Amino acid sequence: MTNIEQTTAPSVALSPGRMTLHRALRHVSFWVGGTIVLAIILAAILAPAITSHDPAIQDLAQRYIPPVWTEKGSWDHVLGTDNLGRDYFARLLYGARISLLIGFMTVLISGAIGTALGVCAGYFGGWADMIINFVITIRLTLPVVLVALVVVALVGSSLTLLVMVIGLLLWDRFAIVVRSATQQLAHREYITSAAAIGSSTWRILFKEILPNITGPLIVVASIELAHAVLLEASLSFLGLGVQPPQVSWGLMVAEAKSQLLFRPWMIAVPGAALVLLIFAINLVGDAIRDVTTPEGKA
Amino acid sequence: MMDDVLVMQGVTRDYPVGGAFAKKRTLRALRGIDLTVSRGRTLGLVGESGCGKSTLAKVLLGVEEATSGTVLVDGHPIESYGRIERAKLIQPVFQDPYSSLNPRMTVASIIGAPLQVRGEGTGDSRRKRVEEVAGEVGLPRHLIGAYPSQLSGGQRQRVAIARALIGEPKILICDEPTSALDVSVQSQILNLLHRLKQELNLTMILISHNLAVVHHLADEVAVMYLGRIVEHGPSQAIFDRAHHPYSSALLKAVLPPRPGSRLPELGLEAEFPSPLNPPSGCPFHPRCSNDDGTTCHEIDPEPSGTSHTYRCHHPDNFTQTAAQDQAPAD
Repeated sequence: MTNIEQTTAPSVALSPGRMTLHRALRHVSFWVGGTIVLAIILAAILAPAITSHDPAIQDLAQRYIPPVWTEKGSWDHVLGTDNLGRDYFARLLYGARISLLIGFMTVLISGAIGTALGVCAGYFGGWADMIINFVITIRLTLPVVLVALVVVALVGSSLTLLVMVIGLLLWDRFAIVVRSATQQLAHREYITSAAAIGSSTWRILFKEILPNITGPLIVVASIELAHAVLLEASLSFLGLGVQPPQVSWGLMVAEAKSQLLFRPWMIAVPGAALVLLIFAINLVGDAIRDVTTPEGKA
Repeated sequence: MMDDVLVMQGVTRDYPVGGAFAKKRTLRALRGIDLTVSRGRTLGLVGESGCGKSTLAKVLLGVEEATSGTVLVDGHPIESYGRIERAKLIQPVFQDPYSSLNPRMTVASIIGAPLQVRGEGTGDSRRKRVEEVAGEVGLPRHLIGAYPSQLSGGQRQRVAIARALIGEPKILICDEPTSALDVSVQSQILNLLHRLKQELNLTMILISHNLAVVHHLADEVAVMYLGRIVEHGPSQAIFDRAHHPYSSALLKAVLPPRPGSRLPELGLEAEFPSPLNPPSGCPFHPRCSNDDGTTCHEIDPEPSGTSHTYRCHHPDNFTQTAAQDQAPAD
């Protein structure tokens, strides 16, 4: 009776997660984006090994040295120096630390908030859904930069505060995406089965629903990571983000804005770094979306 | 007296329909279900889509609560059982094996989940039991570590059955267990259910719109129409001589396995009525060929008969032998 079903089965079972990873590794933008992001992360971590300059040490005798590709440039300061004679390359590397730190921490906070709200709204429905939807709507009516400005202006700026403020403001997309992904799953029969075998609600949420929404979750996380890095840059540009002597790419642009017409490279360098990072993150996000959606499955 | 494992008395289930701005209405998915199932028996539940079969299954599983009426499982109301006690008594097998298995879990963890949820046994003893049950349902051993996406429909359904049986429940609720499968696999699954039912003395509720499946497995049959049981009796009696015109129409609706033969004439006239707005009197009258135009429009028939009951003013096939059961209430 059973021999009809003796079909060929792979000797080593790959979990759906592993298969997604295998597909991702064959995706060009995953490689390109991933390599760039990884390179930036490594450069940020290994900053002291890459450059001997301290990003905060000023040398007024060495102000405004142009980068190496110009006539007056030198290999001593590859990307030149700023208005206080600080090495621009070192500032770029150490600035990446702050930008990435804020990006990842913020996504952790906003992802946790948004996922929790979205799963609850999608799974419980009814009143929970109505209330959470209301909260999402309220959040969407708040202009992010304005709220961040007010909070920072009232409380004063620090790295922790910046992470908290951005994290507490950027969870809306997580909540919306996770909510609809959960709604689609909530009526699957394996959720009903899980309830019928006596699973607790916690078990259903964590073992049945969460593992099945990781695809959209990672995509949103990549978008929000880019969003958070940009928002930090904007706030720093406005003088409400990272405070000296800490460095961030947004702060570098802000400090160089008076030189926009005279030494455009001072803005172009951190600007290009930002563009490259955001571009690479989005490439990775795109690749993940491609390999996790059903249409992308080979 | 027979051992009644499952007793339903006047079970109803209402769903509120309409949002904040639309008019609030009530959809009565179940309208007073009375049914009793004895230990070791199989009850076939048949009816069109939308008649409430699956709602009844959800109420019996405790996933949905009855709006009114009582469901007694093993002599106690279903609400009196905790989550886990209820799961030990009643287990489901669902229609679509492609959506009833979590794609992110291996076959072994899916089958073993009920034991894990109860915290029964150690990892080793659970694994042994999983292999044992997988063998019982005819699942090849090498598939234990596979993921559902690597399994065929029949294999998936075997996994679902294994998961339902690992905790040795008394009652198995099969909601269209074969309708998503190929014809060739359907019979394998039916034979498997048949064998397990006898080996484990399972009480089964078999929900299906496929009368052949019901005929094959069920000891008794209940025909549902618009949220109520319109006919209930021993399987053979209903297949031989259905009294309710709706049951006769369902029996006639089976396509003969002969190419070129004409589609069967059903005698069902109108569309399936909306459960939001059920017809007056006998809810079946707009579609009934026996509609008399007066009584049927005004009076809702009560169940007649003893072992073979039906709700109809003018039953079909009503011969002298059936009349001895009890006179029809018209």
